[in-house]
Amino acid sequence: MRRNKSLTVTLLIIALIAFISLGFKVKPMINAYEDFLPKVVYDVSYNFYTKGIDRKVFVKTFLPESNNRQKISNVKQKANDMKFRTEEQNENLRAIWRAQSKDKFYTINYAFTYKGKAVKYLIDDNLSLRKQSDTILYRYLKPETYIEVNHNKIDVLASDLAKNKSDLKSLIKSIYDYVHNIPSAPIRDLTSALKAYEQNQASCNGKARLFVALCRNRGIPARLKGGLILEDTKKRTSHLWAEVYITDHWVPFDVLNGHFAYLPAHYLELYTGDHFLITHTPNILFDYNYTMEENQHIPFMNVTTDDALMDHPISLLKLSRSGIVPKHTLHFLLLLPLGGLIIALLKNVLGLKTYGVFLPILIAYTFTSTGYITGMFLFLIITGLVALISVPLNNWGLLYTPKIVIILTFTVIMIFIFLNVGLSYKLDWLTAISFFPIIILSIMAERFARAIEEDGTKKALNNILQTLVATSVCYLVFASTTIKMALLIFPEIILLLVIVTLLLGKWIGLRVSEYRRFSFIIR
Amino acid sequence: MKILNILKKSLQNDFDVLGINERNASLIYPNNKRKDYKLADDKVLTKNILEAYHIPCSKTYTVIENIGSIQEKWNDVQRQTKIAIKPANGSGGGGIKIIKKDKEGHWTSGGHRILKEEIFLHLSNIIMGRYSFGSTDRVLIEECIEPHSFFSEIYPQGVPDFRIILLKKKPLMAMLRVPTDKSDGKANLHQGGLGIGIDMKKGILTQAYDGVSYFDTHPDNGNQIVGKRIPYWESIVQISIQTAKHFPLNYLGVDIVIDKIHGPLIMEVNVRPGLGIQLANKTGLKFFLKTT
Repeated sequence: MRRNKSLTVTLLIIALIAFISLGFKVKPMINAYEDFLPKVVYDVSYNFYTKGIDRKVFVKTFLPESNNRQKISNVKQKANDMKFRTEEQNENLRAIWRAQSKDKFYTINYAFTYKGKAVKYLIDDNLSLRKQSDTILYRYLKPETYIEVNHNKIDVLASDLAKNKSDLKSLIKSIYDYVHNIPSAPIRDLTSALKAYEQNQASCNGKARLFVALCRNRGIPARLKGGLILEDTKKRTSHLWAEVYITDHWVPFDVLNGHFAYLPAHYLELYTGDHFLITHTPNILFDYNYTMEENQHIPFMNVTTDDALMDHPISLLKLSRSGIVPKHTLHFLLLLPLGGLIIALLKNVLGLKTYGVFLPILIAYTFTSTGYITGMFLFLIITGLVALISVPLNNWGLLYTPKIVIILTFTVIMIFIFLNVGLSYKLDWLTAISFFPIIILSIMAERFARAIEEDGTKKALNNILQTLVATSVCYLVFASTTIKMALLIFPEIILLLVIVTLLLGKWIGLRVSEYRRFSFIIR
Repeated sequence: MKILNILKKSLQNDFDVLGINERNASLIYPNNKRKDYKLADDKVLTKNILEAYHIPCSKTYTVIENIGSIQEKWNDVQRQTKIAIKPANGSGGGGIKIIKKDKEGHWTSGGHRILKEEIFLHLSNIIMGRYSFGSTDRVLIEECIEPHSFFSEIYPQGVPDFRIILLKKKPLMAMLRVPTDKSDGKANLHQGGLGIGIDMKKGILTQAYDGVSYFDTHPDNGNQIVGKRIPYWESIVQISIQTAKHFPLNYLGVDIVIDKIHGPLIMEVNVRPGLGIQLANKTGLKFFLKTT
């Protein structure tokens, strides 16, 4: 390998910078490594405002606890001149604030960071309907004040829904579908199971209670779950859904929002059972809201590491948090050098022939928005159509630049047609065509058309195929969240990529394809 | 064992075969300066050098630089009866047109009469860059080669040529490129032409390769190839060395034809000569690097 002194020195300097920088990051990372990989992170805060005129007030509410799908951290409690304590109450954790004096205005603030992921259960099709006889579960079969399990009407409805249902899953599905299809109404008041049925209209709490009542009526242990649906906002509404006990697991069902055996990542679980989320001394001034803010989090890291790495000189976390650059733009920029190296390796080491260096990278990134299959299909359609239009343009002997402009214009028109057809016939996948980098794509398609003319269809198609192979390899890498996050936390990786690429630029070995080409000589 | 051996050789890059990475990094980049590439890529610049040093090449009739001077330059070549029109910066033979006068003095192309307007359109297209990827170009009008009977004894159509690769003015390898029925008159290996190996010392053809397999005779007509002696071989090698001496390029491929009347002529100079020559000679280029 020919090596220049300046190249060697450059390589060493880049490596040094990368490793020193990495060294300063690894330590705080190791100290604070978390193996829980949340999908969403929110900073949530309860805000209560109260004043008792002639009495000492108390406020009680449920506090979130960590479990295998949600992690609560960074808890901060603040209340002026109030006694704060927590108590375990069955399966729930409850907070109690007690005022120390009368006739005083109190502000209570309870803040925490929520990290959560979605959970989905697959229910076996062949579970029997045998009644649960477990005594611990007994209380999840009993009627409650607002869950009228044994009321005549509930009884009739439940047996009606259970008709011809021979396994547990289809019975639950039958109940779920019935309750889900009851018209939703934004009813604020407490709605009991029976009332929800009689009115044939209910909000989350009525639907959840009816679902629980019907399940219990058929001998299936079920309970209510209360919590908050997190979104980037300030709000007052809480949410109620249900859990059904199936083969040793409490499986979530949200009949209002249509989640069957599934709980989305942004559902904050607060308590179990039919309770009020907030209770306070009667007849006092009281107001409340919940503020929640989505946190541009980095998986693998808890908040302390996040902060520790924030001020590191080679860090993108500040940029990522600030939201100045859209997330996908940041990811795209980070993935470009990696994609480039992949293409360089495929070309110079394997000997793959691709149309352009950047085309496969851009197309692969497009696939991360459109999905692989849809993307591939649209890509082939566009390429095919542009190649088709190029044939007469070449035959007419158009000069290069005007020809490219015509092809580009044609591509734009085609995209409009696709979008309109997609809109009219509700074909969402067709509208994904707008994600494609059309200029690069047009140029590639023109080159493809020219290759058909110059080198023959077989060779041109062969090169398209090789381009697609390169695209697929890039896609596999780009689709990985781990790689994106690793680049975001350790942008030093890009320096390491530079080193590898520089070395590749000096690598003079035979390409894999050349072993085949020269097989007559290599023996 | 064989695989292990190949693996070991791969790691040490110990093959006689020259790969494209090594050709670029070890031969082209260190030996040719980027600014000198145009001397080979632009046929007009190439011919300027060749003519300046009296190296045999086909006679230049005229060079057309802009559309405004087409008429004037066209009048200049009316004395000729057979001419080759080439884009200075064309590649792979694109845009080359051979035209000759028939008995009544009308210009013809491929046996059909061609109007002055059609010729002018072709000339303008060349200047507008149709064959040079959009950048403007010049037209080179030169004397048309009459291939020596040596070529037609192998294959009667098209123009076969010799390619000699030289490093630091020393010839390394040579091959003869001959068209086939499927290559459509073109002699390039990747367009379906035949690459024929040459014994440099004896000036004798060794074997023919068509991209798939080796032959002793031309696959289309059965004419003998192997063992055929090349006329003017000494002077072919000599003019290739002369060319290399007067170009600032230290690694280059020189294309040579033999004209019926004028003998060997330089046709083109190439800064990025292809690697197929190794297949035609059944020998890796690095073998000659070690021995010469």
